[in-house]
Amino acid sequence: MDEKKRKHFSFNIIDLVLIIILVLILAVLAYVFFLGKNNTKSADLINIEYTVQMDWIYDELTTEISEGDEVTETTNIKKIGTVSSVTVKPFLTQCGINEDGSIKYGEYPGCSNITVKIRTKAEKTPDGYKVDGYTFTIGSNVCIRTPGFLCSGGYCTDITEVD
Amino acid sequence: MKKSRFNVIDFFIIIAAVVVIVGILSRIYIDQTTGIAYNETADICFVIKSTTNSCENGLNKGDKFTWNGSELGSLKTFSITEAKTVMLDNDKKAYVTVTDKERKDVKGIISSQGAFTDDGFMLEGSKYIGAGMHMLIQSGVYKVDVLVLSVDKAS
Repeated sequence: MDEKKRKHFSFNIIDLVLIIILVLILAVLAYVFFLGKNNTKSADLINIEYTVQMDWIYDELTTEISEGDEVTETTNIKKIGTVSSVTVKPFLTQCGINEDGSIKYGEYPGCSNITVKIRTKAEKTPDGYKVDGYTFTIGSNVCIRTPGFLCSGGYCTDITEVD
Repeated sequence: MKKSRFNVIDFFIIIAAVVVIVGILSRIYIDQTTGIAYNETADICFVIKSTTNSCENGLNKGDKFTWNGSELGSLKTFSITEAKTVMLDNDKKAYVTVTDKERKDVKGIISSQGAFTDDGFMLEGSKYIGAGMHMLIQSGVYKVDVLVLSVDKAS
């Protein structure tokens, strides 16, 4: 009789392993959905406008990015702001030496320089401005894309805190 | 007669079944509510700059191209012209555009299927394609790097 009772409530090693797996899955889900997310309070965030410069852009591509476009960082696919202005200028590059010994710059046909200003909310840290885990610093390379345009050779030239 | 018992394994099987059902239902619900269709047709306009004459043998209207293991689409139209290249002029004072008779520029359109989302055109619903992207595409034995100029909804 006693033996029968023990069998009825038997708890074996497989049950233990399954419980451990379940606990691990729940722990991972909890991390992904709650702790893994950027838990910066919105009060800690400040408005910034940063500038991304892109050189050697073919003229045919300059109309593919425009004000209001949402910007995504291409490495981790994070939203990093909205385009507030786009400036397109002829692309200048070194083409010789002036008589006074200085470097001569000339327009490179068919290519443009695009300067894009992007607004977003960011957390100010000692390492730079953090936007959804992505840290901006002046001079760093920025790979961005909008719904219609992608550039992997941009670089940040300025970051300004705005109202 | 053996008495049926409800043990921890049954519990896990029920949980797994519930998770699968919820997953399928939520997927159907998300697709319906977001209205994402994966069968929209896009015209991907591309250019191949200063390539060799191989393009004349490698490209044919209707060719089916793949990219990163996905079916990209078929070549709708294309044109081959003498390559335009930029060089310093003879006085080495300014850049000028010159024609290179030994090389070719190719401009074409690939008709592709995917989804136009808020994030742009997604091949197979998830692979982003946008202007400015370099793509190594392949059709049979022909493999070439193209620059995407635009992605538009096919009219």
